[in-house]
Parts: sequence; structure tokens; C-alpha cells
Amino acid sequence: MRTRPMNSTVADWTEDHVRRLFWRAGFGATPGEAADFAARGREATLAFVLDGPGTGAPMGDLVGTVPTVKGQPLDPINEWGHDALWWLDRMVRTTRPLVEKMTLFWHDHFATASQDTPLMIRQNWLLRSRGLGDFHHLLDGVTRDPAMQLFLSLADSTKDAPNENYARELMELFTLGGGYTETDVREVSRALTGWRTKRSRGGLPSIHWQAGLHDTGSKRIFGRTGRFGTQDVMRLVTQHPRHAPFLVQQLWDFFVTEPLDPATRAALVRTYRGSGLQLKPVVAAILGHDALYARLDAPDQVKAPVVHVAGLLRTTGTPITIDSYTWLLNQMGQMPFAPPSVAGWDWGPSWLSTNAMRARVTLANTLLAWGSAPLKPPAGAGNPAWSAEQHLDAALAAMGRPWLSGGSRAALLGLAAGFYDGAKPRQDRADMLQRLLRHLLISGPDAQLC
Amino acid sequence: MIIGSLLATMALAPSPALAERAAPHQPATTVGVSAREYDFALYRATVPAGRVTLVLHNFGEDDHDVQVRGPGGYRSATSADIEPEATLRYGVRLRRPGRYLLVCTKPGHLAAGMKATLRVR
Repeated sequence: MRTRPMNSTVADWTEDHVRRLFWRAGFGATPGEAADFAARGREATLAFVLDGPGTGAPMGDLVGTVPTVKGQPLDPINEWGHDALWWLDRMVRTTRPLVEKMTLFWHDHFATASQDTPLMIRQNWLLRSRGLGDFHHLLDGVTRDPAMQLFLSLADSTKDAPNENYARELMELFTLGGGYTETDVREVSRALTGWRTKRSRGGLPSIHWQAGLHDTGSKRIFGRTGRFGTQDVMRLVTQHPRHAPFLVQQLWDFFVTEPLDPATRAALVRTYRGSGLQLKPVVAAILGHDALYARLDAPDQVKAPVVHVAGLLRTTGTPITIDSYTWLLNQMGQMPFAPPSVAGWDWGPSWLSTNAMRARVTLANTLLAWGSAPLKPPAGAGNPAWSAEQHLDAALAAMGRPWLSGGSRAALLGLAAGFYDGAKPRQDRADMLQRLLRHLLISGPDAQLC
Repeated sequence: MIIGSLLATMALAPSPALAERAAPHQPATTVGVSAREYDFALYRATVPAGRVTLVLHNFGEDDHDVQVRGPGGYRSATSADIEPEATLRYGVRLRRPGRYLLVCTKPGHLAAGMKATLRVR
């Protein structure tokens, strides 16, 4: 079933609209995609983003060059850091970028870290497969997920010693954001007891239900009394009046930088509740909302590090052939599978600390050294006879014409105009200017925004 | 000045080609291993006989190490200490098929259960 986006007053549909949508809902648009989907129109573009190409695997196919490191295929389970490269590659090559973007949203929302790689990848598939479906189903899966249970000590929480960690974060971070009491935390933790860790001979943990460890007594949660268990808790938190407003706000803030106005919030809550807590209609409404397309000439969402890296690779057709992205992402402040806490990452301008920006410059160094043709200009990429405007235009064309502010354009033209500094223009200097301009187009301030 | 700094930092990009040249001819089987108090978890249960690279990550709060013990009284050397949040690559050659144990030799860790089984076929 195709999901129709919420009606919007966006009158025209340009390449700038496509670029905004493709960056916010995915990892950027190639020049070809921008032109193609501008021609197809708004409704067709939104339907494509939400539903995919209509063929292939529901969670997206991977197209293009298979990633390698030192000539070998990735080993995401066993090689340290290859899990991050494996997911980065999905972002780069998937036919359904929104699925990966939603997986990233849920990875931050249900932030889990410091768990065994096989468990983290298993959780990642759970988030991917349920990320646009029924939230109740997703929450139930996360609650039973071994990585989450071990991270927040729900595993081995027993009737004799209930652990409150998961119960508290379930309400504070995952579903409500407030509106509960300490009594609710204690009672929910009792209701969630009974999950037990078992280890294989190789030591890998798994989670099993052990009825004898569950507190079967009566509990009082949100003013209601019953012999509640795990399923009941899922129902109680998702039926709580604060849940729908909380969740639509989280989703809105992920995609849109404009404040969520009360009328839109109410409409999104109605959509969410009316669909039976389905996520896709809410995401469709947000992606179709005018606010997503505000200030197309002045983007103001800071690209998260993994979005920045995946976007550069995706929009320039650069396959993963080196493992440098692992430590670069770490230095940029966003190592996939390793969020800093259960609250996830701090998004927005905090991505642009001095150290993180230095890492983004190093990323540009790396891409110019090891990337594909657009990122690694070949000899003869520049022309000594070109004017400053021609130099900049060539660099912009090579990089897929990314957004460039007026101030940045003026600065780059000034740089190009003064580059030879009285020296005779030569081929090698013209090529160096192309390298420099392309570097600044991906490391400069404008490239960090979408 | 800015351009000079930029060009200088561009030269800092690491060279994957150099790392590639250093790679051994016969690839070892890589086994991810996590360490924490007081468990090992192996991400591969069975490996072919031959060279094995253990990629150990310490998720715990204490230092750990690893020694491999196997058939015929085989004992590998003990690895260097692995600090919390650190990763260590540790190579061993497991020639004989059978059941091998990975143990932590830190005082009291093995007694607390810090071991795991790796099968070599």
C-alpha cells in the first residue's frame, strides 16, 4: 500500500526541493536524481522516498560496488570497526535511503552501546525492519532485544531484585518524556521482571523468559491496577496521553528545524493515533510538510557525521575501499553502534565543535586522496586559461553542484582570482586550484548543512 | 597561510596502500572476542586449523588478557594487557583440530568464569 503524504501548499517543485528532501530523508541527491525527481513532481518524489522504487527487497537493495578494505570484503561481526563500515555502506548504496535514515533515528532514540557486535547488528536489523511500521511492535521488539536488555539491565531483573533502569528510560526517553511518578518506575520494573541471560559455550549471551523470576503480584501503573507483565507495560505506555505528542515531536525534530506549531502537532497526533500507532503515515506527513522546505536558499540543519560521510560517498559514487571512515566518524563525534549514552547523541550545532570540524577537514583530505574521480581530480582537471568563475563552476559541476551561499561563493571566487599570486598560470597550478576548491566545497561551512 | 595549512594537512591522510603491502600472504581467520568482568564472548564458534587472529575488545572496567589453551597441552603466550575500551589484535597458530579454551590469566579471573570455548576443525 502506498502512503500518501499530507497535503501541502508547496506550489512548485524544483531541484532545490528534491535536494532538501533527499538530504533530510536520506543521504543526499546526485545531480541526476535532483533533475529527474524535479521533473517527476512532488507527489511522485515523496511516494518514491516513502515507498522505494516498488521493486526489490522491502528494506532496500544495495547497488554499486561492494565495499572492501585492503582488498578484502568487510567482516562486520569479527573485525573491529567493520560494523560501522557495513552500515555506512548500506547508507551509501541502498535503494531505500529513508529506511536507513529511520534506522539511524531509532538507533539514537533507543540508544544502545557497549554490547557484543553480533547483538548490536541483530538490534540494527530489528530497527530497520520495524522502523516505519507499528511503534508498539517496534517497542516490543526493542524491549525483548538482547543488546538493549543487557545495556539497561533488564536482563536478570528478578522479582526479588527488580532493576529500574529500563523501566525509567522506557518512560523518560522512549515513550513519554515525563508524566510518570517514581511509583510508576518501581511498578513497571516489577512488571518487566523475568528475563534471564544465558551464555553459549562461546560465551555469547542470549535472553530467555523464566516465568519463575517474574513478579506475578498486583501492580499499580498510571493509576491502573492489575497483574501486569511485559505486554501490558507496552500497552500502558503507548496508550498514555503523553506518548503520541512526545513521539511526533521526536520525529519532527529529526527531520525539520522549524518549530512544531500546535496545529501541526495536533494533526500529527491524530494521524499517529488514527492509524493505530503506525509510523509511516506520520513520517509521510512530516516529509510532505511545507516547513521541511523552508529557506531552501539557507539550509540550517547540521548534517550528522554519518550523514555527511554517507552523503559525500553516495552523491559522488564513491565506494568504501578504506577503513579510515571508522576513526574519522569517531573523531567527528558519531561512531555508529557506540552512542555516548542511553540518551543518544547531541544533534545540531554540537556536531560542529572545533575538534569535530578538524576531523571533517581530515575527511576531505582523505576523500581527495582516496576517493573517486569527482573527489580526486585527475591531472588536467583544471585549465590555466580559465577565469575564477570558470574554475569555480568546474569544481561545482564535478561535485554535483552542492548548495553554496553567496558569501562562500564570493570567498571562493576571491581565492581563485588570487591563487596564482602573480605567478604564471600552469597546468599543475590549475589542477591544484581544482583540488583546493573541491576540498573547500566539501569541508567548508556550507557543506555541513542541509 | 590558510591555504598552506590546508595543503599541509591534506598530506596527513593515511595511506591504505602501505597497510595493504604489510598484510601477510595467508589470511588468518579472524575471530571477534569481547572481554568484560568475567566473561569472554566469541563471535565465531568454529575456525579451520591454522592461523587465527583474535580481535579482542575490552567492554569491562578492569584490564584483561588472553591465553589460548588446547589439545596436547598447547598453551599460547599470554597477550599484552587490554585496557578498558581498548582493542587488541592477537595472533595464534592453532594447528590441531579440537577444543581450545580462551582464558584470562589475571588473578582470579579464570576462577570467576572468564573463559570461552573455540572449536578448531
